[in-house]
Amino acid sequence: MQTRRDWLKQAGAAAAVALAPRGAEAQARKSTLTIALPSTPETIDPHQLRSVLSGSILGLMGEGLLTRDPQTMELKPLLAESWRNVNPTTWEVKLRRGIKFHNGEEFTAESVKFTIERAITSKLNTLAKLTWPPSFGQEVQAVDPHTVRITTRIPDPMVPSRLAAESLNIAPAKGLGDYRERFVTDRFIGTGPYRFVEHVVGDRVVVEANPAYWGPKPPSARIVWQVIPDAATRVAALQRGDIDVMLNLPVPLLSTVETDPGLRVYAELSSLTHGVLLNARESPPLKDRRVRQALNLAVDRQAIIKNLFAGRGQLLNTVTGRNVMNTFDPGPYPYDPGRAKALLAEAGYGNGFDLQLWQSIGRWTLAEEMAQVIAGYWDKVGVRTKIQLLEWAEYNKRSAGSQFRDAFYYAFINGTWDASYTVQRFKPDFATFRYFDASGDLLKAIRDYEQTFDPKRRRELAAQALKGLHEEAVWLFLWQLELLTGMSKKVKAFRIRPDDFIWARDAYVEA
Amino acid sequence: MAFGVSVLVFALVHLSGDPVLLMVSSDAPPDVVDTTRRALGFDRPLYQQLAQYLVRAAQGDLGVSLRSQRPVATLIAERLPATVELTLAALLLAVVTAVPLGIVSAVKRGSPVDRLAMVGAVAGQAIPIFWLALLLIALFGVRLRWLPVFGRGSLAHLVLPALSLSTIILGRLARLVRSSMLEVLGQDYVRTARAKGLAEPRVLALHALRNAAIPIVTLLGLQFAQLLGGAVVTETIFAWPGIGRLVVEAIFNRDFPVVQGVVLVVSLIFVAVSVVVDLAYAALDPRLRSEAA
Repeated sequence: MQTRRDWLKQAGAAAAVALAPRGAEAQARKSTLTIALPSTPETIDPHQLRSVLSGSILGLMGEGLLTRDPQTMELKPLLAESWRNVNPTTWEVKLRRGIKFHNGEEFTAESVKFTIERAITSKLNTLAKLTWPPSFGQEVQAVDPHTVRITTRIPDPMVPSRLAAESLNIAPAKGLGDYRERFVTDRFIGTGPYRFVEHVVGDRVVVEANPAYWGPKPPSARIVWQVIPDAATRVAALQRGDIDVMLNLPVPLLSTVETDPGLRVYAELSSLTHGVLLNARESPPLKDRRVRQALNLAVDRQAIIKNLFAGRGQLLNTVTGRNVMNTFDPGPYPYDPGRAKALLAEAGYGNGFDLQLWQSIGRWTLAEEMAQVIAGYWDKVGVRTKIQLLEWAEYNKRSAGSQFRDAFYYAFINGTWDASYTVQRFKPDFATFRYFDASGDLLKAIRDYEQTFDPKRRRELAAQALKGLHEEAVWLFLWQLELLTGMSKKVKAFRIRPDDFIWARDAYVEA
Repeated sequence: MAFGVSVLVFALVHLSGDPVLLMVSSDAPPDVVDTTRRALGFDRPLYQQLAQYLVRAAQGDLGVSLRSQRPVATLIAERLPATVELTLAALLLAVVTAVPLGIVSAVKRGSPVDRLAMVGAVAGQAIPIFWLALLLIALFGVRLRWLPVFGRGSLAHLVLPALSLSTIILGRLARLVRSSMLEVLGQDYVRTARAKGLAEPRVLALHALRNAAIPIVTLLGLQFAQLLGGAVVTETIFAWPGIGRLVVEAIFNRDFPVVQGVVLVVSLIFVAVSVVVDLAYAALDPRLRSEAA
């Protein structure tokens, strides 16, 4: 006969089974994944973010209508069910149903309207205004609770890419209704797999699994983004097991991680495209295409990558990097100082000329060394190069304001993951970074490319534009470097997307 | 003084560049730059911006961080305790080590003990703090695994940052204690105390050290105030969430309100510490009390 005590025991055992994590897999995981990062994320507002780092952290809690595959960068629906181009200026997006924000509010067409208006047409200084300038004249209409129509004043084939940007995290219209014209600093309300716990400025951001998430169950119970500014301390913390992942592993510390049996190095090619921009509008020698080509032929980029960056990078041969949509590789300018000298002589600079090479301090790894090496190569072919260093804020102001009269180093992101993001800069009416004005067939290819919808034709036009910019040698094309990450061998499914976005939503640590 | 410092810092940060250009991306079209400038009030004449800042600061409103959009007073309130904790711990460690070291060196002047202690003191001053910090991390954090290497929390978290920070003060303090003691030990009242048959420890503690204390207290006061704003390297290496890192990040980001706020608060603390040091003089030396009276 079953006693009352037996019955209570059985009930207790059943409750324990029900409360325990499901499956052996869940039991074999550490509850917290700790990722160490070098600097403070600037914000937790869904639309104020400025850096890939903040975008990656917010991307755990917030979601856009579309997203990109972490490996292929292919566009994929996220909060959208489907999208279609109705006509050159109208896009229709069907929304997923039954999704709730972390505050319980339902995700509807109103959320999309509120988000696009807050991120693009409000007074706020948002990143979305750069990736999708308000000059496109975006308007959002809620057709029904689960359908939106987005119209633009000018045809915009890039709308799906823009909707996949982290700068358009969908926010709740009611929950953030009071924050239409100001930033949020103390909470994050999204639909994502993780919920906001805390943001201690300068120290950490903590998120926890959202038990009501509409998609697959988040693999970690908690993710801590810990600020540790010093790289050597990050490595020490990793060796001790205090953190699981360290971002920005510098080349000199590579071997420490590589030789530790419990750790591994994870490398992914960064999307940043490095080059030296040449002012072909104002510098008399640089106006000549042959001189710009000679400057490219004069530098042994492969040797620099090998010796300065331990071989952790790849050559860049035009203004867009590998993997970007519609990119095209026209092949390298070989290292040929003899040909460089001949081209300079042909252009009337057989005796060389004086050139200033500007570089910023504290912005890029080994910035000064890179400038010295490039100047050394240019000196060898007779271009007497003087290095000028400048602090970043002033440097950035001058670069974007088209104020450098000769040559300066820069690295570009690609905000829309399409070649058009970089190619458009060479139109004579582009507002910033005007150092070379495309003309003739090249300009026509750039303009047509921007407004063409047909994917095949877009590829052809992009290739034509990128080949043209390579032949014009608008920059000293340099390289893309690897992003190095150190991590415990127990960390699984942690990725860095080809656009440098940190994909931590699938990551977990084995116990 | 705080008023003067505020005006000076205001002028310096405004001379150092345009914050708007760092806030908007380098790709930002000119109209976005202009709108942002207007929204933040940076389009108004400098004297108007300064006047508004001073009036608000007098009311306890230090403005809002341009970068994080959080009130500067809150940011400082969150970070200041960490810096005060680290500074006090470093001072305590320095005093506990340097005072006995300085006394022994003075008493055993010229002996191998004195020489060794002074070499140690000079080395402590000369060793770059970042190097020592990394060495401590490698030894106690990674090899021996005794102590955590970053962040703030338990007492264990405090040990390594406090130890490395204390070395800056330790050397200077030990040398000062030694020279002050040497001066005092030659005085008549010390000879008298010894002649009265007092035990040597009592002579040193009550008669010598007390009289040598004034320059020591001055140094400690100055160091405390300096470290509040200057523990940047230690805070950075140990990811210590203090005010030093806050202000350095703010300078790089041209976050004017934060820079101004931190400098104002640190200068106020500096003033407060100077007052405390002055009061300590009177407590230590009855002659000063009677002069004041």
